[in-house]
Amino acid sequence: MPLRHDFATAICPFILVLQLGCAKPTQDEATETKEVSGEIRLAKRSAMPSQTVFEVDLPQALADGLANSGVLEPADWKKVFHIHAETANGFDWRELPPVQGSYRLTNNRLVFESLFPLQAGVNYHAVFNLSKAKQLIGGKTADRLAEMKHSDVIEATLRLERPRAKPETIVSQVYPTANSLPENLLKFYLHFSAPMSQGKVYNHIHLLNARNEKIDLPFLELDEELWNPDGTRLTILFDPGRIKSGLLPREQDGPVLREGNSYTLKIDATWTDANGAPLKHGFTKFFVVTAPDVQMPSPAQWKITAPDAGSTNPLTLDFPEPLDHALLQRLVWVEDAGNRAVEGQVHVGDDERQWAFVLGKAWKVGDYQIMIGTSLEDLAGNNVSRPFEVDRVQRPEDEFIPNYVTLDFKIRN
Amino acid sequence: MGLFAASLATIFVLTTDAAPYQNGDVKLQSIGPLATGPDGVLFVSDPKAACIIAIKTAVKPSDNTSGNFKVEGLNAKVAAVLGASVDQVRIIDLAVDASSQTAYLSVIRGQGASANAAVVSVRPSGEIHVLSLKNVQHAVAELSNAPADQETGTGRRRRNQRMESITDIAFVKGKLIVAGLSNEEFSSTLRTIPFPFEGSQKGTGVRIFHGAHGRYETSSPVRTFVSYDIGGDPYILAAYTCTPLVKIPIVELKPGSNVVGETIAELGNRNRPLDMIVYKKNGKQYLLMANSSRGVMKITTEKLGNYKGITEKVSGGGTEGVPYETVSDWTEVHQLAELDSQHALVVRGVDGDNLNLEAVRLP
Repeated sequence: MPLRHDFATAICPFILVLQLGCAKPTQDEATETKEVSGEIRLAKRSAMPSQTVFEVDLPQALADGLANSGVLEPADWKKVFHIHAETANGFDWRELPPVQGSYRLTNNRLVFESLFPLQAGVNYHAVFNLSKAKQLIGGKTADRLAEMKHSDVIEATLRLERPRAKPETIVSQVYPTANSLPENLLKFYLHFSAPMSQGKVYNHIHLLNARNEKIDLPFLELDEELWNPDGTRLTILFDPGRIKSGLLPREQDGPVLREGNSYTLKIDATWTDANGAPLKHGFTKFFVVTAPDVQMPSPAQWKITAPDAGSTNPLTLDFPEPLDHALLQRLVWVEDAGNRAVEGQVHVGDDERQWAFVLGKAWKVGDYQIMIGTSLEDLAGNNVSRPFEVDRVQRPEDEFIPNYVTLDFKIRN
Repeated sequence: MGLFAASLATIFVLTTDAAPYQNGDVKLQSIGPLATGPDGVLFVSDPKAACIIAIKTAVKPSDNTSGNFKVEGLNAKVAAVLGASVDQVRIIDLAVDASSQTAYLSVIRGQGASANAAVVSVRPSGEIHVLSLKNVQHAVAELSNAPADQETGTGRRRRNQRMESITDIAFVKGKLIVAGLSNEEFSSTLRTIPFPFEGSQKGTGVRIFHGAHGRYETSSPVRTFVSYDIGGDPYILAAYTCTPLVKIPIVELKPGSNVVGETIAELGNRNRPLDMIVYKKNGKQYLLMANSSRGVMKITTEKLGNYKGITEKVSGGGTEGVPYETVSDWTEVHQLAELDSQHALVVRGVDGDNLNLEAVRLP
């Protein structure tokens, strides 16, 4: 983005002195900005267009003096040229430490590059202090500069224009998609059409009862929000302390969801995406609550529909209950008779009661198996190897639990 | 993967303590909890890259034990150093290197693809700096995948959406202990990784369960934990997300095993454990737990060794188990770390507003 000229600048008499310096664009700093000698200004680095730097032109004598001053530490430079971000209301920028970054002197130009890219919309106050610069160089150069009449300090307030963020992001889906969910439902997956802002998600997610009243603290509010790597899917867990038998939270307040009641999951439109724009619109999901599900998913009860050889139809698995949307895509796959994974696309449908595998080409005759990771869960956190809660009285010891179980099928002519 | 790419161009050097550090740039994909170790080692967790990086910091011993450590407007000042507005800066965790009296904060600046992870150091004088990760001595331990996850990442599937958040890390007797929580299956793993990291060492997970009243057993993610000796044996005191406080002998944390933590206290509802420390005072040891609803709880740990776990239902509200007191003047504490024998360093303040970093005398 080229430099915006909408920033305010405070130009001091010192400009006259600075204009003595002959500001030539260097290879490193492409000055896409208007050349105004003596101002502190923003410029983009040609080598890294996303990085904007602060520049100030120096009079030749000063630039030479600084260049000959030996190795100057960042702490030295910081006395001469410092940039402060206006970070928060209630704090004068002068009370805040300067932005951390690196300095370099290229020809007659002192350049400050912040450690992280500048944030659009934030005011940066840049201060160049000539007397401090003179203290750094000392000697005759400083004496010569001292004879010049000028102000000691030049300041500028600079800002990158914030692109206008249009509300375009939406909640694209919430899983589970069924509108009838068990009392011991463990989680929701919220899918968004673009990366979202992170850090205060629970302010924007509400569970309402049938009277549209907000339910207090229904979810496990983790500081480590459970996002996918690109920030487009958030996992929300119901408070497990109110699901598990006999724990104090459940004893005190009972389960969050109660069989026979209806609820609405509500996501506020005020939640901003990663670009700072609010959602295009809010999202609601109405559901009714059924009895708790304490049964483990049992692959033996799943219905396999295998396509014929030569067909490009999908292989499907139908379950008697909805299973976890994310885990269905990760923990169920197909291998051939040689135990090689078969490439294809997984589609989860029918309110997560169906897993379909599209090969993308014709099926060949042979023996295959569907591999099922035993961590695959239903909506209540019961997995293929153990229920969410193991009753030690009823089920004293776990048997050996393999990582996978398999379902065999054949492709026939 | 920038981290590993960068590592290719690095040279292995053996330092005096034989840790196979490499010199090179550390590029964080993300940042989670921090922990400090011996000789100025700072452990930085990177959940997105699924690794822990041990960074050898330049330690300058300090004899500042006056508890004179206070930074008002911590979040605004950290934001200022990072050149961002305060609403774009999230402080994730606090760790303290006691010998140098340096506080480290893990910080995320910005949102989405343009977010940056940073480690920020804070000195008692209030000086705040972003820790340089360029050409630093460091070592990396990758975290192994969860069970049944090896079929992903082959290219035939869409990109893996699974990510394991790191809820806490601590250095205990030569080992780094890492607690994780998946964004998909409801499971909790504790990993123990010997340090110095050994070549291809991967932190192998132990599955953690919670036995409620000796009968119902469930997977139980660990929210925060602290190590503590009971009769000379190292234990972890862990706060589960479902609120019980449990003890787990470290000796049981063997790769591939299933461990059931023994409940020693039930904290009750509306109670989110945030952080814990153990300290000694007048010959006794205490546990402090910062907590979303009760302020800071102080628990005398001398009886933990022979304390009989809770095996019956707790009734009539309230908490049960190990007795505790609430430290009434420690309010709005989000992060806790031991600063010296007399003081803790805390991050406190009304959430989202003005946060302070300050030393407080241990109760």
